[in-house]
Amino acid sequence: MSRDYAPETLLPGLSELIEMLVEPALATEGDLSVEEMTVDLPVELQLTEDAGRLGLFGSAPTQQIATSVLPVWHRVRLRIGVQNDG
Amino acid sequence: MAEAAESWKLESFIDSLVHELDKARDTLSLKGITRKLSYAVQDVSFDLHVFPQYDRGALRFRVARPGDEGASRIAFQLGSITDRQITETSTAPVSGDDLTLDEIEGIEPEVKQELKKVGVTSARDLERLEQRNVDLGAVVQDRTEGRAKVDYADLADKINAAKRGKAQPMVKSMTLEPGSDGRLSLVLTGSHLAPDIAPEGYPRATLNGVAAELTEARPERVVIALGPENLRAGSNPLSVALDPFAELRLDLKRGGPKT
Repeated sequence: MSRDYAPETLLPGLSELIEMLVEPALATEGDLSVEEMTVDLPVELQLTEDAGRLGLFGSAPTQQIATSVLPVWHRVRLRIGVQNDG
Repeated sequence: MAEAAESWKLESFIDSLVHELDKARDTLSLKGITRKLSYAVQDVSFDLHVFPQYDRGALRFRVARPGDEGASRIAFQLGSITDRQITETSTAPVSGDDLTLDEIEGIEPEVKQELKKVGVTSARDLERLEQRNVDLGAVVQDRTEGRAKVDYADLADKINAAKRGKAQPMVKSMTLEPGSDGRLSLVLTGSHLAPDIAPEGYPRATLNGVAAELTEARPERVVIALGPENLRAGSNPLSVALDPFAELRLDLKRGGPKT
């Protein structure tokens, strides 16, 4: 059975997911700034294959209503901090 | 339509994860230029629900699908390293006299990709692995699941051919000059006639199937001594190999005694 993903059903790339999570921290202004943030969330993963390279796509849960068949939630934990040189 | 990956090797997953983290890092660094602080992913950990599969001796994984029960859990963590650590642990950039893997023709793209994944980016990296007796053939065979094979001798030929592409021997003139000792000399002039990259034993010449003496072998000039004792009446086949890929074949005709 084909499990290929149509473009409209493909989740964002993992890098885009990370960028979306960090964007709010970047947007802070004022004397105080976010020094570190930890994101711990369940994710639904889609793995694709293109010319031998594995593509990683994922999203935090978007389905809020329990149904008979739910996506499988993996877990990802990201620690994002201020970049120090050296 | 994106093709779903049915099963994958753990290193492929980690390679792709690192690729995604690199992409995110590049974007965050770019955004950091216009902000007062720049952010980076310090570490990332994953808990995956997977089913391991053994396929022809290789361990592969398949992510659990909706409704699947009894999946295994695999967890791993990737940490970031500092710029200084990158400098200390990275190999030096490819130097001018070296060749990048992409410049070496005749190596299958899949092999090049797998070599890059194990840190081989240049001809010098390959030489270093050979010196350490790393069984590169087994590495490539394992990583491509038997689809591709390489060996050092084959790679060395391709490297030499690629290096030669930058410095091909070129003969501009060829003269036969009599020497004071009664011997004849064949003088070749040109460029890259005795290249440094040529394997040991080159350039070399044979006259009538016997090794001929090279009295001079410089990149711009090669002189081959042709002793009268080696020349016979009539046809005298002369072969001059400047490197493994360039061979000149001449036939020197010597007239018989006048009657």
